[in-house]
Amino acid sequence: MQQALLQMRGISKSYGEVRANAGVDLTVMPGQILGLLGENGSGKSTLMKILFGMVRPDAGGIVYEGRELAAGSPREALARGIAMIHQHFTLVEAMTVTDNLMLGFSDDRGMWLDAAATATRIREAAQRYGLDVDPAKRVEELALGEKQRVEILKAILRGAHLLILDEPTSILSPPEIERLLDFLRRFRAEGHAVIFITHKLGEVLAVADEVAVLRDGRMVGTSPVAGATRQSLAQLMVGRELQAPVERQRATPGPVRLSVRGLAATDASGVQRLRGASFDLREGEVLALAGIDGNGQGELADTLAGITAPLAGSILLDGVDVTRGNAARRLGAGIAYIPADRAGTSLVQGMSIEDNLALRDIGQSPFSRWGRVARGALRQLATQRMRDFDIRARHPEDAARTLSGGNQQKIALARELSRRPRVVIAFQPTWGLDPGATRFVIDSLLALRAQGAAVLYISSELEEVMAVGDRIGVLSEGRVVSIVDRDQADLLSIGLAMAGTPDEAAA
Amino acid sequence: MDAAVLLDFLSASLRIATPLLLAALGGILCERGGTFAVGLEGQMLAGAFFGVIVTYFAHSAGLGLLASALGGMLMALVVMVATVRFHAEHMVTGIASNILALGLTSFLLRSIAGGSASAMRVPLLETWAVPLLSDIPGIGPLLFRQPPLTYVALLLLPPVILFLTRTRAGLALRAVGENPMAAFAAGIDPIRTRAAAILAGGALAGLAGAVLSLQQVGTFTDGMTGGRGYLALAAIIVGRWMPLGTLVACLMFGAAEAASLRLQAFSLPVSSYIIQMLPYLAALLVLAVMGRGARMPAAVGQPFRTR
Amino acid sequence: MSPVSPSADRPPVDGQAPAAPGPSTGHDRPPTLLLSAITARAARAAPLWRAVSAVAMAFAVTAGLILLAGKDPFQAYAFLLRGAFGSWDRIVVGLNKTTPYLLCAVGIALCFRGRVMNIGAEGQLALGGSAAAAVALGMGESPGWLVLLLALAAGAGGGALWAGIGAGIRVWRGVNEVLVTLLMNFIALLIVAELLHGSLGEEGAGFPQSPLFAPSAWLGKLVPRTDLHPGILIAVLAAVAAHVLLWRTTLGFRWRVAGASESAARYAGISPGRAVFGLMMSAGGLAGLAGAIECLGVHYRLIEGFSAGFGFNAVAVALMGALNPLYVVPSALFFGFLETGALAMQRQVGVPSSLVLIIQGLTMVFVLSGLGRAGSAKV
Repeated sequence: MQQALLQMRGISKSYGEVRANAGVDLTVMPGQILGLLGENGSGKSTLMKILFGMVRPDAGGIVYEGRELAAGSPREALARGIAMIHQHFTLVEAMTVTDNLMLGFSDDRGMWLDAAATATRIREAAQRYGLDVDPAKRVEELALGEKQRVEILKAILRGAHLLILDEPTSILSPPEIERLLDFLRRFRAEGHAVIFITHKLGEVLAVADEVAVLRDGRMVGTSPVAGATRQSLAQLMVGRELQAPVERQRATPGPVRLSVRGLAATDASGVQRLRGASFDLREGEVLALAGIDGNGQGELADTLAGITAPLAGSILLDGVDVTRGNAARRLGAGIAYIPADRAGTSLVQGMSIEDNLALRDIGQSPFSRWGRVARGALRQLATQRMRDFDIRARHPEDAARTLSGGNQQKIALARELSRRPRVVIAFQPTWGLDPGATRFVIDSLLALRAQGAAVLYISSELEEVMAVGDRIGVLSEGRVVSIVDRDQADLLSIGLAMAGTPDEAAA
Repeated sequence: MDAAVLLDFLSASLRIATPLLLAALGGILCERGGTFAVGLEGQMLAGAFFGVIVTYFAHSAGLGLLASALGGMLMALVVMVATVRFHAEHMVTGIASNILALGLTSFLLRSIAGGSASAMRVPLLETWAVPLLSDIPGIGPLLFRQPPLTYVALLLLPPVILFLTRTRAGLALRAVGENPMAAFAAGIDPIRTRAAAILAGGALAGLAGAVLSLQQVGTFTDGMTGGRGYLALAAIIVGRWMPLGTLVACLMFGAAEAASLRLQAFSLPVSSYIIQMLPYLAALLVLAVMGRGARMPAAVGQPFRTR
Repeated sequence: MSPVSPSADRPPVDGQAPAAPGPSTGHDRPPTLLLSAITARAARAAPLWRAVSAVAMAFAVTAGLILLAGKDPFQAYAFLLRGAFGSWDRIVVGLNKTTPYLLCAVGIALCFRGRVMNIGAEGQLALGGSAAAAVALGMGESPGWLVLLLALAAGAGGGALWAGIGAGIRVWRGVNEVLVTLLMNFIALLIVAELLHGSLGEEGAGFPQSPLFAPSAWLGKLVPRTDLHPGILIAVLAAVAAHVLLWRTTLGFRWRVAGASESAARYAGISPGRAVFGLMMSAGGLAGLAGAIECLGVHYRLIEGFSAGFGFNAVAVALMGALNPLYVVPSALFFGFLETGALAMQRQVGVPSSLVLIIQGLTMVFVLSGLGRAGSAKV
């Protein structure tokens, strides 16, 4: 029997309370492409970072090419022939492709750089693997697909035998994806191996030999790709017991409140993540959008809330075009926003609870009069809110950072929901919260819906989406796809849509 | 204006530019590695001081020069420990080290020399004419009849340029200054690299101080660097963090000062203060025009922390 | 910087609040509460410890240097204390010296808290003083109170304007404000030098200075027959006003949010650019006012070098005061009296007054290292 190229045994890693990896075993054979599947939070990235040495495991060991691999050293991993292509490139933008590739080559090459020789090697490798790149160009001038090719060439020129790719296709266009898959086949043909992290089943089926699925930090199964179907893979990825359904009345949706057409936006680094989202949101209903991170969720939320300006498209609130307008205007128009980032955006950690409760409305009465903050009114309101939303803290003056995650989120909820908004946009509102706090958040949103608000609920937690939504859709590749009514939604088809292959039957 | 006056002016420009150039080269190494080189002023001062002290007591200019480099490195060590080890904010730490250097050198001077500080004179480093070359009419006296440290400064340019552009270590340094995470993922140690860059910069800045005390004045007086360290910083900015550009900037600044000292001869209608302002205005202009794309090392001033 | 939204890995990002163990909607758990109370109090007291330990270490190292120089540190420090507090005259000198430190540091504290690293206080102070001098000299025969009022206003306005230019470059060109304000310091000092040799200079004086102001334009004495001028009152008032502004007004609220994070500011509907302008011009105004007070109350003229050292040292004062306008008051007093005592120490013990620079420099380095270690460039 052929000896395994890589064996990871019993890998465990926790960050505080959160168990990113729990006793994971992974085996890769030479000349094999392994697809590593899993949702957000399943632990895929952590596992690979441990393999590459960027993160130290709490327990477990790695054997590579028959020898133990020391943990915590990318240098060691690189020297042994393991290379990782990250989602966020580790390239020096201001330097040329050649410079970037010369960086960090092992020391036996002497003191002087030989740019010409390196450029030649780059061209040779590019030729052999079909990775087209101009060695003389500066990295900042390259398109994202080209940058990724540079990262891959870096790995190849260092003699990598095992390539780890973390969600490589999320930034690529279809023809570039084809080119990448083609490269992987050629790489495999040379006898090397690849671990390919993805949530897209189509790609896995197209190129992988074996599939391993992680869920909640555990390895739930491996299977050869031959003989697997999209359904069987999707089942592995998402299939699990649903929690007891949340108590809810039937929705009686009213007229359309928010109408979004063709909304497009880029993320902070300029990648266009939102590519034309369209949907209607009705009064008294929850539209829940599922999807894996990176498909435009944050951009949709921020754009609707007025924090970033859209590239294209329109937003109509009760028929009025509000597309041009900032956060303050949206707020004034009655759109509440609960962002995902509790640490830096929806709350100021260093400020007190009462200050955070007034964060967006400080300029208006009763919070201030003539430019002076009305401490008394602020305190009164804060105390009331803390009671209404059961925010556990000693005193409204305590800093937000002293509260637990759940209570912090309650501050954001209290602030946004108390204003009786007409539209609520909730983005990952239960991230990092325990089940009790999660329940509270969901109940609050449902209560608001009962009062007639229109709620847009964006989350990568499939259970919640299924539990909360009156209508359920999926954000995939920057578009909203397959919106179905709650009764018609089934986990599998949603899982497929999330994984980039909308099931025909569920259209 | 006749040729002799012009030649004298150009020669003076080069002489005045020398300490700026040395300090700026050190600053370039430091900043390319990702640390703001605000501490150049204090490092120069320390270099000037230790250069004089050691030359005086050891009767050796060579040892004095070595001491000045070490003195600069000493002040740089303070910056290094604070910023690299403790992640202190670069700019303010640099300023603090300058204040410290000012106090330290004055204090040590008084402690060692007591009241007779001004009597601690050392012989100046003399100009040395390169045989044959210095006899070339015109540029001969200009380029080849200069004091030794001026030659050193000019001769250091090619090695520094080669180092930055053609060596593995230079590439690593530049990467650390642009994107320390990328360098780290490539197997480089950003912490050690930054530390080395800061110290090397300090050594050069110390040498720049020696130009003032050992080559130009012959003794040490409190605060004798007079803001030249900050001027070197401005030169780095105007030179866009590249050695050749910085050379040009230093020469221009040197010319500005030389001109302000020779106002009568040139009968310029502009006051010397306006002229002295030009280097800083130039730096400000360069920054404002380039704006966000200032081409400075992208990660300069940011602490590097690993998990 | 890594993306804001939760990514593939679940773990809390740096700076995230630690989740309390156990269900958060359960009953209050006393042990957790007590622990968080203690850590909260410790966190509030940390800046004080930081300042005190930094000062203590600076004094210790300096004592070592004094020993090396062959003198007795205890004796030296005794004279330092006596020189600072030994008599009413000394205390008056100390209070006068504190004034510019306090004014500048309050402004710097506001800025740094808003994540605007303004180190241009020296230039703002110098130009403020020049503006005040110009008014004082130009209005010769007008009633004293009018001259003083306008001169002080001109001082504040001049400093604010200078700072505003820097703010503009920062906001509209995206240039690092540290570099901008640093360079503008030197330009400002040269402008003042130019003025002293030109329009504001005194003919025939051996030293770059302006003519003496008319006595009616002198900032009077707070306590008759002493040298104490009302500057210290103005400075303390400014510190209190800054405190009130920061904590009791909507403007201060907005500045605090802008200082916490840009994304939070945008979320809250605050314009980051406007905050930068507001902060820098306020700081510039305070520094300019300090310059005006120095000219009108201490020197009674514009004189070369009157601004030396205040700007950079004020940064240390602000940092040691944990960027809190009220705590900056004792911090400024410390620096002011330290300088006063140092001069006396030099005369009596023969220990050079440059020692005070060493103490200041070391204190700054230690405070900055402590802050860096604690993970922030501001409190």
